[in-house]
Amino acid sequence: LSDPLHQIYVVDDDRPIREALSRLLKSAGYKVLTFSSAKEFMGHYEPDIPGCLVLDISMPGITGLELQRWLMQSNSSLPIIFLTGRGDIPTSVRAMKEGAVDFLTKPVNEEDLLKAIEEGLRRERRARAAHAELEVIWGRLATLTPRELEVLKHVVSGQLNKQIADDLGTVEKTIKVHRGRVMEKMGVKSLAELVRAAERVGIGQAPASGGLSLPSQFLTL
Amino acid sequence: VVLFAVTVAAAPRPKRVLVVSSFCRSAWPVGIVAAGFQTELAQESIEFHKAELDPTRFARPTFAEQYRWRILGVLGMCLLEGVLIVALVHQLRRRRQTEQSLRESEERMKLAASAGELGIWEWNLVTDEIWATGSAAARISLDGSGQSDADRFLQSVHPEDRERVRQAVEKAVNDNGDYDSEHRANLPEGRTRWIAARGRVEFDDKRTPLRVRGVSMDITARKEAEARAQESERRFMLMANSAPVLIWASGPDKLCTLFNQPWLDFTGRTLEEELGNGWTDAVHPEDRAGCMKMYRDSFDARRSFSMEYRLRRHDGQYRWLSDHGVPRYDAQRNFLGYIGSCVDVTERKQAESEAQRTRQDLAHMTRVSTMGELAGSLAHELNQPLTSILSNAQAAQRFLKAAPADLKEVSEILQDIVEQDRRAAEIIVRMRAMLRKGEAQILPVDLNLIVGEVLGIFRSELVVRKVTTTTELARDLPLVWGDRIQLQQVLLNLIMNACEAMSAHPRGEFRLTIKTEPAEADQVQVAVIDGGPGFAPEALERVFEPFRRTKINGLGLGLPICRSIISAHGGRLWVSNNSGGGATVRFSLGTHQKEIF
Repeated sequence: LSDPLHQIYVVDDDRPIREALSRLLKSAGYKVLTFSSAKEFMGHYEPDIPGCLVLDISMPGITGLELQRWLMQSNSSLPIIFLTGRGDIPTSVRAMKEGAVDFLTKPVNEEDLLKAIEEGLRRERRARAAHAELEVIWGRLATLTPRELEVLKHVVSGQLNKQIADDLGTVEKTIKVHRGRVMEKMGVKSLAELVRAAERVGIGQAPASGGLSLPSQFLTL
Repeated sequence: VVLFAVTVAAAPRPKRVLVVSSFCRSAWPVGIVAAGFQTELAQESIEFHKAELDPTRFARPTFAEQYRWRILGVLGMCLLEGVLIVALVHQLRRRRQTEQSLRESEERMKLAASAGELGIWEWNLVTDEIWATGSAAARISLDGSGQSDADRFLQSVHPEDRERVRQAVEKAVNDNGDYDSEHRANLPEGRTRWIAARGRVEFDDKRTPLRVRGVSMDITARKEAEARAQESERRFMLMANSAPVLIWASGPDKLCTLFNQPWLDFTGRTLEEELGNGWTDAVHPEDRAGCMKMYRDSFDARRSFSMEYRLRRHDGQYRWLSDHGVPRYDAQRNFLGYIGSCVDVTERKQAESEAQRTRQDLAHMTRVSTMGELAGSLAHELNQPLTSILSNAQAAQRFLKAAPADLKEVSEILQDIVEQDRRAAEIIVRMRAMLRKGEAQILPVDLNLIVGEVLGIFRSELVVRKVTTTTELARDLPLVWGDRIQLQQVLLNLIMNACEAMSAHPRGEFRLTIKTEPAEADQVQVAVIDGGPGFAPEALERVFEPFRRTKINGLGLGLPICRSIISAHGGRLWVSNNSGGGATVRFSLGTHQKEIF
């Protein structure tokens, strides 16, 4: 059922709860690490290891929501399952909006928790897969010459070859050659595919993020 | 003869007879010797003449031979007479000394009698003659001569006392012989004096009474003083008995000697029952020890005291009395004991307890409302152990299902479950205590512990409000007298107020400090210091007025209730603004050692 490679983090300031959750998750076959505060977790967190975070929302010092924001800002795909002692709706809405997997009320039922963790791990896997796909696209983008990148931007914005040629101050035929090379380098067979790939990295709207060899302004979402 | 004349002349006049007689007695041997001498002389002259006639027959004897016996006789007589004279002179000197001391003691007696108004009298029962001297002379005989008889004497006695005096005399004569009476005597000028007389009857061998001898004394002054004292006592008792308060008095031995009529009417007991320590029987058993302690301690310190205790009324109902006692002294500042008065204060007490009940109700109400405001926080506190228990239990189920079952882990889990269950129970107990409506229980309380308990209730609220809490708790803090729940309530309210103040003004620092420290005069002080905006100057003076809402939620009863609770504990609560921003609310309470009543 569970992937032993996955690391489950439990962050709660209440020691007995930490221990109980840790035992429950271990009994379900997960590897579990517990932390008494967000700060402690931040010191130990390794983004490369896939996993899931079970996080108490109200803690002294850095709260659950603040930790969530920190993870998001550090571009982590770590799925978060919030635990709360009080069914505080505005907080839960906010947490869910920010991408939490689930918002569970204490005392938490094992089924709900394990289901949420499964869901979290699934999302993580998906996110990692998506991330891998992105990396491929970025890799391919990196092979483009600056001229080809210009052409690509124009193509995905829906301009015709002629318009592009006008914009870039060249002839339609040259654009056509560039376009063919872009399609080839990006590994796509149709314009639709190219547009989708470009969209994945944010080309065509705002500056894209996450590139390996791209300038840093590309990295912010 | 010359010797005789000289001795008689030298002897004092009343003793001359004695001297003469003794001299005569001692003089007869002289006469005999003298007579013998004469005979001898005569015989000698005859023999002399014979010798002259016949000088051959007799040798002329010497003078010593011739008068040998005469000389010896004269010498013996002279010696004897000398001894007698010496003895006589010695005897005379002794007599003179005795007479002088007798005279002196008589003088002294007279002096004492006149100084002490003492009269000496003698009543000859055989001749019915009364002879008196000193002050008694004037009283006993109307003419002041000191001579009287039984009838005249009885005439001088006040008619009301006459019979009594007569009986006293009769009793003395017929009984053991001691006469003792106090009576009034009518004096010639119509004055009346009080006389104390004491005497003794003298009997002859056949126990026939011969005479009564005795002394008498004017005791009018003493009698008048006694009468005055009695009058003053009577007046005091009249006043004490008509006063609408219960009055008691005690002697220097702490035992009660007096209770006024209202006291006796109140308790329905007799004076005899109340005297000494009898009165404590009617004191309520719960109050008795404290009451006696207060009385004894004050008594030993000669300090006035005020105390309240319950005393059983004649109808069996216990009434609250306020008793005020003061030490009393005579004019010479000699301690005489205590005197005290009590007032029935049951009505006032009832009003007080009514007020206290109202205050308790109000305190309870605000406590409930505070707990209502904290409900979310409390639910969270309770949820924590429940969460741990549920997850632990479900983990245990899984460990048991596994093959092989991890029993060591399960055992640890069960241990945790037990602990967490206890934790939940404690929270419920604490909550229930806060919500319960009940009498205050004044016991020694550790304020540090109270701070800990309240922060326990508040913990998650403070987390949610993002308030950083620091505690500065003094070590070895003395215990204070107080009701745990009410003190928790005060602290809860103060922390709540501080939180509200801080969140209403988000620019302030969300920092809360709770400090406990011993203060002077056996006090312990607790300070709740917040980093809020502080009180507005005009609000500083009015925060204790009820229904002055300084926060958005609540009735605005928080601070007034806190202050009334602390006042009821004999403490003080006050607010001030911090120099560096924020406000401080402090309260102080008397320590356990300091007794409060």
